[in-house]
Amino acid sequence: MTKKLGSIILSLTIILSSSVAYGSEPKILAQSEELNKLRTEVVETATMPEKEVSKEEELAQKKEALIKVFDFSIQELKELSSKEKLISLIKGEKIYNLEARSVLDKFTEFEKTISEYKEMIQDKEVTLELVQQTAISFKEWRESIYDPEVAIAFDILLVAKGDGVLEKTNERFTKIEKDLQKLSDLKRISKEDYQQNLQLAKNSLQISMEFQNKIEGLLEAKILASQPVIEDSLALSATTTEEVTMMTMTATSTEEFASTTATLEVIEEEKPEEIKNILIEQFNSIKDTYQEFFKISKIVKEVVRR
Amino acid sequence: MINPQLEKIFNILKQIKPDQAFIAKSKAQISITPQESEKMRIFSFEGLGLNTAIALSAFSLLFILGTASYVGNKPSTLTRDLNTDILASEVTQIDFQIEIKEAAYFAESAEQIAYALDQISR
Repeated sequence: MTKKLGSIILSLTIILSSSVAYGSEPKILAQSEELNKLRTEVVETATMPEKEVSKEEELAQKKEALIKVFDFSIQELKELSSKEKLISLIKGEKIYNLEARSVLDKFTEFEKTISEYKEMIQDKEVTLELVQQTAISFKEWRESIYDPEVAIAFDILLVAKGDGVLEKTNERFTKIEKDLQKLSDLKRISKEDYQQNLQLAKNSLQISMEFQNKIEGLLEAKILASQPVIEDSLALSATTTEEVTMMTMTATSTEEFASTTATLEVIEEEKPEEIKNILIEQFNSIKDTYQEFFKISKIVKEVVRR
Repeated sequence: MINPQLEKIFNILKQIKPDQAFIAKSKAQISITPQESEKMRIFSFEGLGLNTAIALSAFSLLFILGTASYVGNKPSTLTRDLNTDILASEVTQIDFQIEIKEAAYFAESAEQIAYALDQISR
């Protein structure tokens, strides 16, 4: 009897312990050192010295800074597409799986576009005016096409994270419930001892599931909202780098070009609730579930002392 | 004819009865054992005594909690590792904050790149 009891207590402890352990999976840094270094270099190179410089020096520095911007953008896409990130989500039919595949395809196109920009600027005959106009063109492209898509990629990762944690919490709940039932069958613990905590764990788990449904719905809505933006935005994603640059150069001013994408900004401002905020609430709810798990763990320990 | 001395010993032995707790324990063990599958045996640590099981439980819990504190980069939490509520809360927050930070880094990066492009276009 005592051996049986011991074995159940041990397995319950391991279940609870491993529940905590999954939070200790290795993580990559929020942004890699390489990307951080590139970003710092971009800003440093792009900032012109206060003293007067010749046109040749200005061209060389701005050309170098622009190439670094391209390198940074390509590196950012590569990191987001890595096997720890979007590629890990390509299998499956959930909303974030479907969208991860779609975003990865777009990122491949983006890399090509950025490479075209880079090739154009690396030309020995490039002028200061072309470098400046390309910078304007690339900024518009980033803000209207690139940035929104990268933001969706982060949302996908957040939604997937929420789902993964929820799934594991659910598994733990089921295992703990089964073990408690075994202890109860052995008359070593009374249901009254843990029923309330188990019910509270179940309730908070249910709330977490509702939050998950909500963020998945928000992701879907965001994706739907972003589609017409891409179609109407002068088909920037479909045009070649040269066409985009030419379009920018023929515009009489930056403001004129910016006005063509004004509609995009309006749509951007009408963003619904932020996925990350709901995710925080979801994790708080999961935390509540774990608190009940640990309370149950304490109750089970008391059983040994009886 | 039994030796009177031996008969006396038999009578004493007849009066010896097993402890009630032992009877209950044995009956429970007998009634439980046949119901278990081989698969369950492998994972149930059946061969372990109660004390060993408790010791292993405590060890595994301390090990995992210690790992969790390390992940949180807060060694001071080790001293509080008996407070399971605080630990659960910390671990959970550390876990999701990484993803939130990544999104924040991107927003920050996007602004800096836009600034750099403005500088280049001047």
